[in-house]
Amino acid sequence: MNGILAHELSKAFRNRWLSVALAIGCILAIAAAAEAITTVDALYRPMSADGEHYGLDATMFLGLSTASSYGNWMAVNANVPLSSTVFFYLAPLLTAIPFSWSYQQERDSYLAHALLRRTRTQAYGAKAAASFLVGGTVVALPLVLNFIIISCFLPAYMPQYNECNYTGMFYDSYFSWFFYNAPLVFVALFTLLDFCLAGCWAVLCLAVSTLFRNNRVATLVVPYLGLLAWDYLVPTVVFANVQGFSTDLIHCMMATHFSDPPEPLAAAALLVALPAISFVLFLCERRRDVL
Amino acid sequence: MNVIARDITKTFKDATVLDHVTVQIPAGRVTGLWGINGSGKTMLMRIICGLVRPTSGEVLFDRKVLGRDLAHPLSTGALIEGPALLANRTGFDNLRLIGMINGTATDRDIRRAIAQVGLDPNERKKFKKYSLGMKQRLGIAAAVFEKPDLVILDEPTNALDTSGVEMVKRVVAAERERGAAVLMACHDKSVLDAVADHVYCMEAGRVVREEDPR
Amino acid sequence: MSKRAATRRAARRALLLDLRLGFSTSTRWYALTALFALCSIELAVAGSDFFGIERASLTWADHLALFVGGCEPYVFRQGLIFVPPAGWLLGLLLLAYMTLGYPYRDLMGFGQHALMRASRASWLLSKCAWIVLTVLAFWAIVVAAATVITVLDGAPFSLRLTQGAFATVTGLANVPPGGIGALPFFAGMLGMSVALCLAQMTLAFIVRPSVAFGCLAALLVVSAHTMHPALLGNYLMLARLGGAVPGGVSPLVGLGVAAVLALASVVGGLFFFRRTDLVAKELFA
Repeated sequence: MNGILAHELSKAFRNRWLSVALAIGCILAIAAAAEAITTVDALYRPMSADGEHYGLDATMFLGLSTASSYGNWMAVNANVPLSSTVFFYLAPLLTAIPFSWSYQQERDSYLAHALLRRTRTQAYGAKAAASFLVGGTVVALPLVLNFIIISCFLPAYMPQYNECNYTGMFYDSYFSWFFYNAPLVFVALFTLLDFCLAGCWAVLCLAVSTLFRNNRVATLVVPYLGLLAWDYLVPTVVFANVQGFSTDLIHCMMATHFSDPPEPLAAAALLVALPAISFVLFLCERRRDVL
Repeated sequence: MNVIARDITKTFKDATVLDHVTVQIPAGRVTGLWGINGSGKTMLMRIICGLVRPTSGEVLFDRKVLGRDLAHPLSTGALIEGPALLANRTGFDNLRLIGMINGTATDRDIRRAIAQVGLDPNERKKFKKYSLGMKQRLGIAAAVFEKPDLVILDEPTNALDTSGVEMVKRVVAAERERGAAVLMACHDKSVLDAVADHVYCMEAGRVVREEDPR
Repeated sequence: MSKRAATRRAARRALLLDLRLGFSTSTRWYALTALFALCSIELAVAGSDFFGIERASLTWADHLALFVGGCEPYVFRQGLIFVPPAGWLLGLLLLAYMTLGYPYRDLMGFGQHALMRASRASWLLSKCAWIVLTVLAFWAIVVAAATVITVLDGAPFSLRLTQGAFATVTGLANVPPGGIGALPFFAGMLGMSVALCLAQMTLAFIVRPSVAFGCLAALLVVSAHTMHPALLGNYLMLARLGGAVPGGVSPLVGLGVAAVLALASVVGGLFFFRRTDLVAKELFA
């Protein structure tokens, strides 16, 4: 299994489309950092000019959380930079770009080299694993980059729970205990969560590609349209009366939310459902002839 | 390793592509498949490679049944319907990447195989820039570089000039000398007559005749 | 027959072939569009109850415009994230997808036969014509869906947009009692969607289809966030209509911008095609 996994990882990571996806993600992450920093500066500069201090020097309003690096990190988004919204809305496309098309491209030709040397389970499993790792990297790396840049400009004030209305992190938000008690651990945990969600999505796109013949645009775009359709129809039609159970992938990747924070079960459900659907699709593909 | 494709039948909806075909591929010998386009040669090769499941019949590798005792073919290198390699890698990189799967071929083996087919192992050009003949040569190198026990070559002389055809004959002879079982399909009977020990002539999915040209 | 006449005939036949091939591969997407349009308009109209608006008071134009209802521009508030309107985004990206794949696949595959028999310019213009017709067909389906729901609601067949429709998507609108004419908005919407699809096609040839689609998606998200005439998605949203919404965008300006964008896309595409080598690239999207 090691050999085939190394083979797939080499193709996945030594791949110019990974560079393209990462470049786009990193540009958006840098832009989000710049927006957040300038917003904090614009919000608090007048206060300083008036003699009002903020942060640890404040006499009246502390405002630690929304001026801190943790509150302004892309996933938390206290000052709501537009670039971070664009990043999360493009993330399902970006994760699929590097490697989710590889099965469809290789099915009629190159895949034979792997199938001559390994079982289908091993070959498909290795490809799915590589896709997972690459997809996760495309989201995780910009998040880490954003945090590093933000940390260079904004102080690491401990977030305060009494400012939760300003950060959008409530007691039932994902990992909120860590956000208010060990925020660096929160950053690590949430990055890991996003890595896993993005990776699972990339694997789903790879699995969905088995349904299309010679149409790589469909491989990338149709799952994305499906995701938007799920986001639009399911909360309105199916879960109209169930508050907070949003299985919308895009919003599960964000720490803060528009209305009710989602149930942790929602993200867990996605982490189970996406691989399960992918598994079923690959199981069907296993039986097909490679022509 | 001796390979037998026994009583293979393959049907797609209404079309019977292979009809009770039996082919033996002994070690240390070159077995040829000859037939016009659409006679079923490539489909038979795909079945032997495990890429396609036969409707009935079985493929045995040293008496082990593919699909039952074996999940994939044992020690097999193949060139089927043209070289299938990555466009943005060099020839050497392509073979090294394939070699990662088994981990048995060294860089030296790769270089030797590339040189054997008349290409430069140090070529920095990417595969997508190769001419058709160069691609075909590299595809042959990909089939033999790991020194497999079974070598399957489907129309290896496609897009090759006279020197290329001679190269194919040399490579096939070398593989036979090494003790590999070689299965080669070719529409050019003269090439098969020059290298094959035994030829199965196929027509409309059936073996209609067998010959021993050498 | 003269060479010129033969080339013109070949170009006409290539166009007819495009229409046949292009539409035959999209039938299920048109069916999906119809289903989505019915759901989307019905959900939007049903949502008007929440704002105390009677369904039967919404006109036919209201029903159609609610397909692209959209949302208010984002007003910054710490801790309140921006969520683009999912239905609006999905509808427009569905149209974008329907016009995305065929021209590029044709260039890499079957279309090379046409390129050997007619000029490159005629091939590209044929694709532009196909895109225009696809966009028209898309909106025709949406119109049909709006008509069905209007009939079922017993609503008036009027081309006036009423306060009720705006109230469903924004609290900012101020529409006179008689409503406002819908034709400029619909014309602007049609023109802008054609222009954006043409621009997507040109970008797909120059870069890659998935990158072009991603750019369009990003533009729509940013347009939903901020109301500004330079953000072209605003012309495709009822909640940003000038004359009803303060600071809204003018549909006539949108029509003008769309015309310029469409022309630039076609000219840019022609310029690109004249110079580029048409080799069989890897077919990666």
